Amino acid sequence: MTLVRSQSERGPTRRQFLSWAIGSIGAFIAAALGVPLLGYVASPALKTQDKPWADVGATDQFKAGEPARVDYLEEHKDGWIETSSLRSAWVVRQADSSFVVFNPKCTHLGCPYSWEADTKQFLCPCHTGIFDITGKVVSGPPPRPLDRFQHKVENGRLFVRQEASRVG
Amino acid sequence: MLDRALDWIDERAGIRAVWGAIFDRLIPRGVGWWYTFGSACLFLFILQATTGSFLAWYYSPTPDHAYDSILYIMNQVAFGSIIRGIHHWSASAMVVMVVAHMLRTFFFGAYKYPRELTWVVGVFLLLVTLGFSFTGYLLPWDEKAYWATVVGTEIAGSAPLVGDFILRLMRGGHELGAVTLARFYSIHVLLLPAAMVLFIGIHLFLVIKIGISAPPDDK
Repeated sequence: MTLVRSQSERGPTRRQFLSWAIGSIGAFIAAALGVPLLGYVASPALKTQDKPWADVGATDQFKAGEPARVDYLEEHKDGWIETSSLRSAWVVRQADSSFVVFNPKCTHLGCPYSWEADTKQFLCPCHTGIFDITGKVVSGPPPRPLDRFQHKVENGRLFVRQEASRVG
Repeated sequence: MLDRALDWIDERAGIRAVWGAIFDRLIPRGVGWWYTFGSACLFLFILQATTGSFLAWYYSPTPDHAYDSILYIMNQVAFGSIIRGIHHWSASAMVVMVVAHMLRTFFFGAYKYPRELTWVVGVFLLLVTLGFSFTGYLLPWDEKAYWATVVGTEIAGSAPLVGDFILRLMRGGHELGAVTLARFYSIHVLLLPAAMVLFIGIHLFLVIKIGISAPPDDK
């Protein structure tokens, strides 16, 4: 039996232990910083941002069979920059108190149309496109019925949300 | 596999000799924790450079958007408050460690021959660190940042004869505003980091070439 033990029996040298410790602590710091940084960089890409709902008024102000044009501010969020722009829509209250909200642009070439109270039709002045109160094409060049906006009723108020609109 | 790749590079670039010169140097007996402050400063600078690079992803250096972009980092971006928090606290820690490193060097007499040049470069590193602190403090563009910089530039402006010119130079005009914020940001993220890396390079070269000083009581 020998008094001098071999290196492997004595375990790692001081030098080996220190390199191992430095490596481990370094890896821990890199991970502790690297993981949050990955989330930090990726987080805006992972968010699905819906357009916000715009409040266009109390539901009682709309009367069944009488379409009303509403103007409202639509909020835009671009990172930390918030702006708003003026939008319009045609609101039609149904007999059962539900709502239909039309895009205020004619489906032909995007002109603004208006409600003719005497004929009870929507008339686009550009090329005499005519729609009935349900948005169906009565006559003229429009290729499809009026486009609709999403809407919801909450606490007696009507909210509208515009999806990307099509023209033509 | 890794060894073979390193061998291939080493045969062409001689990296093992460089690694050895940096990490396998002889150091004097009795060197201990007092000698770690410089490495702590270097670590904090790397931490600042990393977190700062990523803060710049979502920061906008204009008066209308600076504060909103900070709020966006704090509230909308995942881990944004952690990244900004690390940058904020490490900034203070770096000033503390740089001063501690300087005091250690002074009281151990480590600035003496042949290390005077290392000390002088170290003084530039101290000034660059304080420059980072001064320019970085304005960037959140809140009340504290704004008025601290008003006061800071007023102090510079109180110098005789050239004071008013220096104040205008720092603010980019008489009033503190958009021009001030843009130049402080540019100095903070472009000019000072370049100066810092250059001076750190010289500082480390001298430390490695000359070697660390022995503790004063070691004969």
